Amino acid sequence: MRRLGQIAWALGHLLVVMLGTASLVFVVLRCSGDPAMMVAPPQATLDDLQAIRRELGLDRPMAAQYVEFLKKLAVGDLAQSFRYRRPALEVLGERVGATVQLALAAQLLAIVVAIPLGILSAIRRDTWLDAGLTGFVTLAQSIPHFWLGLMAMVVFGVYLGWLPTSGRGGWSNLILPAVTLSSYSMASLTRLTRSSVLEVLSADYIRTARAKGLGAWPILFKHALKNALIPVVTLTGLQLGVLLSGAVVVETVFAWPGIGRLTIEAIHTRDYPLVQAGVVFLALLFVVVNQGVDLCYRWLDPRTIGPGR
Amino acid sequence: MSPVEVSAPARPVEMPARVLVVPRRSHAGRRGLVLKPAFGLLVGVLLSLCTLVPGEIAPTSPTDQDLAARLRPPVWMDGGSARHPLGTDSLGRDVCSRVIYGARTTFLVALVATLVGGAAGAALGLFSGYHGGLVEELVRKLVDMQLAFPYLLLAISVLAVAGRSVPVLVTVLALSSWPAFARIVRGEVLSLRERQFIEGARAIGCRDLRILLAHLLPSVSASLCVVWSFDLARVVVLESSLSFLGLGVQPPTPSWGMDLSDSRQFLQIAYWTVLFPGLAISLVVLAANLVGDWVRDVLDPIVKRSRAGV
Repeated sequence: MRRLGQIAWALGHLLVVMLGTASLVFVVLRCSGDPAMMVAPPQATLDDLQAIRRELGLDRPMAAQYVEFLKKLAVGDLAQSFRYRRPALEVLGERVGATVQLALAAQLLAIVVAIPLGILSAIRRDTWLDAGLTGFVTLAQSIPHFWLGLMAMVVFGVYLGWLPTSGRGGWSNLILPAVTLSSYSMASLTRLTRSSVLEVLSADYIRTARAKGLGAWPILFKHALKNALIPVVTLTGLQLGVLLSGAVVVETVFAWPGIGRLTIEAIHTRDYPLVQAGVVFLALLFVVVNQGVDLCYRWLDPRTIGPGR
Repeated sequence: MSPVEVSAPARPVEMPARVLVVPRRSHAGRRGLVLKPAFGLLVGVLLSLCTLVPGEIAPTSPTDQDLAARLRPPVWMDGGSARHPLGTDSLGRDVCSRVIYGARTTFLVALVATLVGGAAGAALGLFSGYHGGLVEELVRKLVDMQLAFPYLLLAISVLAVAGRSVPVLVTVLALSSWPAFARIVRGEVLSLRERQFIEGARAIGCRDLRILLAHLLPSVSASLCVVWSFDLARVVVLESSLSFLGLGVQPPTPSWGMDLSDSRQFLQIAYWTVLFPGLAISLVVLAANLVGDWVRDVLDPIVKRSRAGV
């Protein structure tokens, strides 16, 4: 019963956060310029502008527009895309699979590589291995996605010719974008795993385990990792949100047909409803994932009372 | 420090006993204390030179087009010439000069944005941490809200609608950087305000503003330095990402992110047009990160001691 109450509370909270997110996007888009100017062709007259404003509902009071926006959002009606002449949500729906696939692949890759490396770095602390891994991590955190992606394209696509450089198709198309997208999260996960394992290894209960004569492996796997990986799980979840929205850049580099690239294309073709829909959609996805992680975190670590650490 | 056999996992991992002892600074750590600031200083000096006197270093003007010499390779490759040490781009512009002049754009934009955002964040953090109450609650909620939101998306939508100009770009970047400052400063002030020197200052009749500026601000300045260098790195990446997406500084102003995106289609035949601007971004970001690391390492024992109340 208590758990049910918690879930209900969390869902309510999620609704409030989603409402806040949608409102924020609305305010930002309305306050930062006149969408009609963006939509209108360069040779448009004042009358044309007025007509466009009327068509977009921009001539009505702000409050009325806001209510209208929320009403439509609630039933998933995010206006018509100018370019595709179809509901924006429908266009987004076709692309969401690609974005999710890329983000999940990147996340999986980051987990599989980063956690063992972080543990290795922690138990080999202060050796050349640790120093090398730490240096590598700092480097990986400093190289921007888009450049890493382009360089990987040059090396593996153009010079070695091993992998396709753009588009979506078989598994080989996924490798370069996923590796590129995962580089930053991989680095921060490694760093966090290392410090978390180190922290746990210096805890009293590990000393006790050592004192009663347990070997290094059981201590590490049965005692230390269970606690050390809690913050890692949290970060993993939070990163998924970042990966979903950060995919904008990587999708553009690799011509990956996801939501991010669609949104950027919509900006360049002045497809304003599609831009708004794309931003709202990605932001909501991000928020929902984050809130879900928050729930899991509380379930994993019963000590937490407040949200997150 | 004996070499470790990585390829023999069957052997039980020796849990180093020193993990359980008081941590001490390793050889690598000590070397880092010299190398990190040295690298940071080197990049900093180069960056300052490129920002202040680009004309003295650059071989030619960054906007001079020479359509007869398009996509020329760097000097060490066949067909390269000393006139264009790092080659030319698709319009025959000198890559080396564009990298040098691009430094000014990226560095100035990032510097102004982090300083403005940092000052605002620090002020909010100081004030809310010291006064508490409703203001603190509000600032905390705002910070949480912004940190829980995909900022790149917000920046993209603002720049798409508000138009692409340097003031808008700086504003967007500054708005992205205040929460980190506010959060750190607020946290420190919360613990500092209970300390005796603040109590003493209050007892001898200092006004709040004086306590904030003369007592609390110097105490948090070290943390501000750390946050600032990491934030500078973050903002440089954000700026070049936005420029890469075509939403940053507009031509003809040279910008690293924009050069990357312009040269993308020639990647297969002229990798140098993409290699060098990106290398420049990575070096700057790496330097800022390393300096941040270094300042934190140096300050760490001090910070810990002061927190323990010694």
